[in-house]
Amino acid sequence: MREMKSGINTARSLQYTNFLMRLEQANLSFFNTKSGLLQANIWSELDSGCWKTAQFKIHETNTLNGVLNRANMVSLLPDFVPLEAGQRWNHLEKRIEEKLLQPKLLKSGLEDFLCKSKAFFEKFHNKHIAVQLSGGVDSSLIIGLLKFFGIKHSLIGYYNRRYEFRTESYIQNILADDCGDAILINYEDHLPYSGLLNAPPHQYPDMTCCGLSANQAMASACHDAGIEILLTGCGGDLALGEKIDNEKCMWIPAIFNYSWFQDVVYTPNKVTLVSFFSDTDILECLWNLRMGQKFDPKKIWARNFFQSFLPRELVEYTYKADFWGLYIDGLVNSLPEIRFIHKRAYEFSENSYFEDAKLHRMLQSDLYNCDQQLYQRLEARISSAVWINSLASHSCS
Amino acid sequence: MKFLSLPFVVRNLEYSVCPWTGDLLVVERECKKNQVTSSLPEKVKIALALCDNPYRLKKSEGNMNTELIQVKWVKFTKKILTFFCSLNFLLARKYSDIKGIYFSDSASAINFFYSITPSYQINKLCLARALFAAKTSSAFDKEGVIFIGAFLPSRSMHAWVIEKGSQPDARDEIWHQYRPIAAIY
Repeated sequence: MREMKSGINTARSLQYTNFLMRLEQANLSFFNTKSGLLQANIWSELDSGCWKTAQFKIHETNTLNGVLNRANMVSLLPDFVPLEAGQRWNHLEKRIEEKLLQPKLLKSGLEDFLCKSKAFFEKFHNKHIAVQLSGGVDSSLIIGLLKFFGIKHSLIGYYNRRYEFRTESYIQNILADDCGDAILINYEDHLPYSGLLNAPPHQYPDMTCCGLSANQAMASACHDAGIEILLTGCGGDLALGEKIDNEKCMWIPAIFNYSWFQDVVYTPNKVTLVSFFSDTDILECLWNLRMGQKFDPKKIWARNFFQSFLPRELVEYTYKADFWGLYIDGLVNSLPEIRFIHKRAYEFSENSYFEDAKLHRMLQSDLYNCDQQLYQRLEARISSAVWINSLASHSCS
Repeated sequence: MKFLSLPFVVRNLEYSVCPWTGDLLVVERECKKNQVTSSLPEKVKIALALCDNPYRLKKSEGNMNTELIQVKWVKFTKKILTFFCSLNFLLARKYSDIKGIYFSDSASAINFFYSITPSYQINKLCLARALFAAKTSSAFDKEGVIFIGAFLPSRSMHAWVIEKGSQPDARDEIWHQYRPIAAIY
């Protein structure tokens, strides 16, 4: 097992900011409400200063509504509606349409699931595959399946020595030792909200940018190790834990692939981020396997059904570490940088949304109180400021 | 029952529990070392090792034999203990010192506690629940320890029991997030 030390990414991020001057965000397009046309990007409009019309309060409301409700989000740019992977513009109804999973009712069993999983992995034949090792059920299942099929793979994950993560660390160590080819990055060096000044210019604010540093470190480590496909367990909470009934399926496979990180961080490092649970065949199979099940947040069904692919500990126990400690420390440590970015956003935009007093008022709250709404509102504000900074630093007028 | 402080130092901040008020104390300390577990009482040492390695815990299955329960008295005990917990930590501890055995183990005591507690109160009453188990379980004296923990760096605190090699509260899904910083045994 190799451990990555801090600062591994700094050189790379500095190196590629120039190259990213006009980053191609393949997973993002725009509908121009004035012309009624779709646009692959809005770089020239941003250059002409359309970002100055942004209404940041809207971004805050969108963030509070959550990613599952993204089709109902209102654009913060009056003339452009962002369309992310899995979305299209409905010209008749003049609204965003989400590509939902439309599962057929089938009789499924473990054999079917294994068949679909094998077909999924075969898509990456001859590629260097790695799995994002978290120590939880979702990624452990992917690792168990790869082992079952005898498919060569590496593991790459974040580690930390925090008390609440001792159960995750335990599983990480078991799987890393078993695999023999594992890279572990110290999460303490890349806490949430850190390194935001390194954000490459992007066309639309996205609150996932708060995890930029950790993803840059992972993308860079993947690049250095020659990893081409990075499999994640993102979406497992929904696919293995959500209530399933006969009503319409509301799963949006595209949201499991973190398109912002793909475009901004992984693509420049020649890495493709793929969630196992974004595969529609696998999702359809799981939907049918779990038909009629209630909300199962501990994934009891999955732990039992897939027990032969999981470490014993994950079958018998249901511990799951809470990330609040990392978020609190990340925010508190990054306050000087956040204040700086916020101040610069005000200087560049002269938008009253970024007045010092507004951030100051939010930061007066108890940041140690695990208040989700406060953190979401802060993330919306931070991601807006990061967006302005990234554009302004690369001379969008 | 004895109160044992297990202060934890991280980044020059020492976290501990006030033995009188039960409040979380955060004090600046320079390079103070954390307590060496070998100096702890055996019962606490074993229970603490299980907290540190949750995958070693046995599954607990509390049985609640209602025939043995003098329901009226147990309900009264729970009510008094809950009231004392809201009033003063030391008072609640002293009251739970006066043993009143109604259950064979903490798992049964905790199950009973849940059965007479409205669901909206359950999350707030972790300390009352743990002290109730300590007071009414016959196995607690020999093999039980209450831990009070903090979820750092937040100021959130929690109390739970380790008894007979298991965590007897099957409904408690958050205890493992908390680092033990005090023990009552």
